[in-house]
Amino acid sequence: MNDSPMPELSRVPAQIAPDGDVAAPEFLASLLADGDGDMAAWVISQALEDRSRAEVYDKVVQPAMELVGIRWQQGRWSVSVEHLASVALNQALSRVRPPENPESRVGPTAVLAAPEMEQHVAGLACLAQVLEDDGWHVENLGANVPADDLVSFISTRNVDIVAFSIGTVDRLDKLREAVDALRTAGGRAAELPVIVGGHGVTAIEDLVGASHVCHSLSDAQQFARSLSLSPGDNDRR
Amino acid sequence: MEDTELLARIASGDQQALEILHESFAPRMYSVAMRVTRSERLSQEAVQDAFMAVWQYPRRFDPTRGSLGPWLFTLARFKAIDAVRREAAIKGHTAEVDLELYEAPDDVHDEVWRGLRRARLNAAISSLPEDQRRALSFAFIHGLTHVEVAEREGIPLGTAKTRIRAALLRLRAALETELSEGGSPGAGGESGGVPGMGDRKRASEGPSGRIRSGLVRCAIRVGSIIEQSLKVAQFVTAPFDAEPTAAAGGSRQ
Repeated sequence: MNDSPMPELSRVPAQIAPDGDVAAPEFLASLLADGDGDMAAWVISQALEDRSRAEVYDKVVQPAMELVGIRWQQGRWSVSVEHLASVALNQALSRVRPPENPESRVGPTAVLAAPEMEQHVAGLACLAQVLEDDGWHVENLGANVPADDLVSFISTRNVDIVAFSIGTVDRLDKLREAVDALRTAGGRAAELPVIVGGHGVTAIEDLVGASHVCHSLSDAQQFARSLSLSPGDNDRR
Repeated sequence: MEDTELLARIASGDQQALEILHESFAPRMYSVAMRVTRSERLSQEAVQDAFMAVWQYPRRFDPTRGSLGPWLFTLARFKAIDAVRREAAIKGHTAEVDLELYEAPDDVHDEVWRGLRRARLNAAISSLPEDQRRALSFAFIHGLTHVEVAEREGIPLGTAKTRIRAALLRLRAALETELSEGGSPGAGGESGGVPGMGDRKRASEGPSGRIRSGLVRCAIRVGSIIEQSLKVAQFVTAPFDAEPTAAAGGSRQ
């Protein structure tokens, strides 16, 4: 302990603009682990003022959740804390969601899903917002979607892209099954652009039948943009 | 300058190093605190408290667990939550006192007691050393924050807190002594102990029961005041005793 007298510190001028934002992954991770979705949303929204959504999610949110996972693996944080962090992240993301606009209702449609048994869906939630920002209409099916059911769902709708995400390599087989099911379904579903991403695909060397393996949200965004779809293209909705 | 070097300089008592740190991070820490407290006053306090913790325990920062900025932001957030907690305690405390003051305003015994209580408190406060009396007065009569007391007195925040804490402890000691000596009129002498709830019935017996009953109520309130003083002392002393243990994103403080 430092026993010497502390120097006089000036008051912080209330009107001063913060010199840079506070959106550091470590800070966000600690907020999420504390279940502070409100402050996590504020931190994310601060970063969004200066940077693109894809960049913020790639460089702040994703590393923060990785830290949560690492600390859980190291035994520093419990399963409960990890779950609390996931819930807090969902709360935060829902608060920073892009504003809905009329065009997004008629925009190209993206279907997002985690394959069967996959429970990690934070990446999908982030991707949904990144695509919505670009005018996509997003149908996020969330966790644990059976391949057959997904094929039935897609065959009844007008879909322009399908995105899968897996949190661990353990779900690689299920991911392959889901992509195969689409590719063998026949009709338009067989030719749909399919992108795969998430922490579990970092080890993928082949494309597992997908059109593109995304290593970041920016990467996914670029691929989606390369399809050159715009609002109104989807006239069969 | 590297984070670790800066912290090492702070650990060696280098005041300039703390000022550099303050200049770099205080605005953002203030933003974090504002998000928690929504109060400029509490946020200023939180930032000051955070830097006091950094000054006192710079080695709590573990560079292997994260960088300095997030650690400071986390610290500011915890201090801000502490500030909100203290504020809530003060508000609850004030409400209790107000409730007591306005209770049965037409009761002559209450009127008598208010006078007695005021006199005792005034006597106890007057016995305090000048610097402690002034700090206490600023904090609890004028309602200034610790930071504002420090500014008003031109002293470091830590000194201001120390004075207030010392004053409260002295007051507590003074009022406790009074009670243990049967200082509450009419109650202590016969019961031979500290008057409390159990003395009410006994005190109301006899020809001057009504007056004694009133005095016993006074005694009960002395107990209440001491209890409140202890609560105040507890939250005032808390920042001194609590060591920051939070590494960024690590354990909670």
